[in-house]
Amino acid sequence: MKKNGRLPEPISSRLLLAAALMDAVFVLFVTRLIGTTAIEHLSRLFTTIPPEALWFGVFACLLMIYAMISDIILGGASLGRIVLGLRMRDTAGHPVKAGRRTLRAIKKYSLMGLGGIRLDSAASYDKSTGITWFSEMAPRGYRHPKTWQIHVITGKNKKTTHPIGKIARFASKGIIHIGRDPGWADIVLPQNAIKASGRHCMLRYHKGELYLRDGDENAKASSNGTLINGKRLPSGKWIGLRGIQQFNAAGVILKIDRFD
Amino acid sequence: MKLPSSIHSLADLTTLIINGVTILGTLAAAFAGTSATVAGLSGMPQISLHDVALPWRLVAFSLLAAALGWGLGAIVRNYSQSRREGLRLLCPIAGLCWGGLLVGTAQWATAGATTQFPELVFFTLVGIGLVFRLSVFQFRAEIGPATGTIIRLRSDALLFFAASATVLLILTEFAGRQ
Repeated sequence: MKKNGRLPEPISSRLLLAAALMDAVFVLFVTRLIGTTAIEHLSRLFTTIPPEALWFGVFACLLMIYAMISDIILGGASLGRIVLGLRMRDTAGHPVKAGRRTLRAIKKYSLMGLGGIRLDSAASYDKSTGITWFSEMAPRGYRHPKTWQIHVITGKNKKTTHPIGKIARFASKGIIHIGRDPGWADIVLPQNAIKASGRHCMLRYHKGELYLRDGDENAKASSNGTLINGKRLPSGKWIGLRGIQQFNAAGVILKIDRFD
Repeated sequence: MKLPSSIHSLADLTTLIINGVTILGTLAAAFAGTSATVAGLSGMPQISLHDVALPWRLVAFSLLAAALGWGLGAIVRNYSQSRREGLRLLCPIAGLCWGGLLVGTAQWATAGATTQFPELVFFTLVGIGLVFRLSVFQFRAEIGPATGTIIRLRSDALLFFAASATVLLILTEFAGRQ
């Protein structure tokens, strides 16, 4: 069985561009196939416009129609993407629902698709709608959440591992409390991590994605904050991790291991 | 689908020969200008598909495109895993060259076409599809290690291949209309 894994952003953007080029060649072929008749009709209507401009106009219109059919109706499938084995999925690897695909298409075409021409990160419309791309070139898939693990790494590279499936609160509510207070936390941070708060942060699993929130359920923020990629999280808000595997709880690093 | 290693090796060897012949033919054509001169200079037999029906030309081209795709996949698969930076650089360069080879082969297969059907664009489209599919078949992560850097090099090769094939196709189409 083919095992599709989630592609990292710079790689998916490259492959999507390659697929787009093949799609452009396909549309060029269709334009050449039906264009002659269309140009004859259009030339009678627009006598002042040179035929080359009309050719380009027909090509651009067909390209736009093709892209919209692919993005909205066909669930992100196009000739180039099928051949390259690219599949549009949400962050948990599930097929994307029509509503989210339409929202993505609106965001995409409001910028004439230019937000997708980048090589080192995902398209802006993919990021904002939580869409990722899967391929057989990237085999690492998510395991079942019950088998995920959280590694807690303190300053002296001391590592402890917590299997998520064994946390009772996660099994019943899908939530994990992290802090130094043993009466509150499911993952108790070491007492020598003095910058970490007793009720430091919470993790929540919801519809295939992990969310992180600084502070406790009463919206009381931690003293020294929770950081992702060096940026402090706003307190009292659930922030989607979207594949991010590591965060920092006031000097204590927590790594989430959820891949095969 | 997994292929036995003996078939993999045989396919690699066959594709090496076909790719070698295609590269030599393209280089000879590029340096000599006309196919007649090529025949005269290199002593190679001149193979023309001028009078052959479209389906047979398509079959011949598909075989060559499949060999190119398998070859590109094999080269990039091996070099992307290399520890030497110089060899890893060959991946995008191979993509660029193979784009040229594909359009060159499509031109050869469609030379002399007089119908309204856009043969060159159609052949190039079929060729890009075959090269993509066979390369991705070789890049499947079950075959060998696939770290982020390796997958990036492979995706670079595919992107450079698609870009060079598309640009050359457009240039050829424009040149044909002048």
